[in-house]
Amino acid sequence: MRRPGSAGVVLGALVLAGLCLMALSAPWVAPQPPDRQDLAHRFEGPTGAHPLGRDDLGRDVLSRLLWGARISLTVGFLVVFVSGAAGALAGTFAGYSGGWPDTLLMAMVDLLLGFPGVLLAIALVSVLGPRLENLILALSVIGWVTYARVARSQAQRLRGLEFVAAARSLGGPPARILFHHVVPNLLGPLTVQAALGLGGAILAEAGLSFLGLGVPPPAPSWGSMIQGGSQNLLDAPHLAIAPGVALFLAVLGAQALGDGLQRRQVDVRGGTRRRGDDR
Amino acid sequence: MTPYLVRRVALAVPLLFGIATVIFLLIHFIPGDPVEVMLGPGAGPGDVADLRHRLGLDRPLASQYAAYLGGLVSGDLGMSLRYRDPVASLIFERFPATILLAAASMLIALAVSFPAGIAAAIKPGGPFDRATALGSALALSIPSIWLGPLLILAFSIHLDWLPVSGFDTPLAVVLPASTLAVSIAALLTRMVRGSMSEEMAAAYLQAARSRGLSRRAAAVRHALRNALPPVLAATALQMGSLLTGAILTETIFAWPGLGRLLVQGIAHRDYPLVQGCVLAFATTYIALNLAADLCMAVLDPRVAA
Repeated sequence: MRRPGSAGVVLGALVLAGLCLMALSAPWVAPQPPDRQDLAHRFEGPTGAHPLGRDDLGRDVLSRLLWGARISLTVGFLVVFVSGAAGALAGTFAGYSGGWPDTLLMAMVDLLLGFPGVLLAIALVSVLGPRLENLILALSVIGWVTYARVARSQAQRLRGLEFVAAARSLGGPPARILFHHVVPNLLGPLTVQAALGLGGAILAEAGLSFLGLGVPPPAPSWGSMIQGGSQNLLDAPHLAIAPGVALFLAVLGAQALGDGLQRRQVDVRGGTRRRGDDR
Repeated sequence: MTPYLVRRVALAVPLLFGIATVIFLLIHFIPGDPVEVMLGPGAGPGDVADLRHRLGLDRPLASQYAAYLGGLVSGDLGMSLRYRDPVASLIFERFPATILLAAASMLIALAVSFPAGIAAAIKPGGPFDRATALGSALALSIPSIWLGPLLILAFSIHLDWLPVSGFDTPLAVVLPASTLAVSIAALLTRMVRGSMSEEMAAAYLQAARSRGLSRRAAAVRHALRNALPPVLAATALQMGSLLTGAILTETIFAWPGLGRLLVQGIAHRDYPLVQGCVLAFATTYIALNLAADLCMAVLDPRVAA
């Protein structure tokens, strides 16, 4: 029997894999360098040599789309990695140890959740300057909180379970118990969060790039391409379409993967509960 | 109820104070000399010294902080470098447009999500339920920065039904509000559907059905009332995200609100204006979250217990 959420997991993974392949193959597949201008052919519609047309500076839209995938996906994956690692470490430690580390973490979480995250990212990037590393930093500063909450609640739950108590009573050192018994059991819920967070990070990067707070020009990113296209809707409506479709697919893929993984987890837990009821 | 109310309001005060402090420090995070960054490369030493003095950046940090907090208490957020007007008056001028946009978006989101969520929950697994689930997933994934231009392309450029941008006619709010409403509507539809489904499976509803009530009548007369509190709380919480979502939507549609003012402030390195706008957004966000929690406590007294 097929597990619930399988279709979403497969669809999401396929879409994301396709987009990653697109990003990786940019140097070989892109018809020309993404910043090569040809002012004589500004706003040219799709042709055989330029299947997605040319933008306001005569640059090839397909080439920019492929190279832009690198920036959007790099930011997405790095933000998930940095914020996921930081949040998981802080949350696991606080949840497992309790006491003042837990109180301190929750105070920080409450402070950050009380502040609109997007606004904090906008404020940080506008102050630090629009650069790739600042973008990743700003989105990670707002992103780690969710992972910390998930890891904390799971670590608190695991701390009270028999197998962890048994490891403690056998005299296992705390670090060993954490990394051998607690962390492996956190990976499932954190993976779901990472998949859902990937879509959010890609979307946030595009939003910041749209506002001119992304990677500075002439480097292409999907958000800045949509911004350029939306400025020229009358002359060249095709410019906003392709980067929008790519962005939509990336977010949809991450969302489908996250939802599918979540449904699988709920199913596993539900199954456990049902077996418990039968006894 | 009263102790909960006092505790919840008391929690918001240190949060506001913390946020005001972070916003104060923001200008000091600017790499290099913030005044030179604000004035750009062509500024002379006299201009730099003058602006440094006007912003109070030539004073010790503690004195700057005390003056900043004093200003906040008296409603003085400093002067905008670009507009040469008090930041507070610029914010008050633009704020109603943002509130109008957020309120119109919420109305659209509620008008779509409640009927759709209830209808989906009445026949779980049916064609409408499946279509709603698919529609919600697509709506949650569609970026507003893309949806906005697509709506302009369809309804303003091709069909010529609605204005592209601006604030001149009541019709001008339709496209920005719809753009902003889409993801909220999808989220609320999922919530209404989930909350209603739980109630539809409850024993009291089975009893109502066994007395001969149709699923639809049982849903509307009995389940809806109990399904409402969590959905209303989520609705109030979404008002906060509508505000920040407005930053992008206002930029797409040249809507003269607080979000556009913030983006203009960033583009012109007008940091007093940026600080003021961020503070205004954050304060409104906290106030809305507080209102949502208090509404929830009134609707469901177990929350305040």
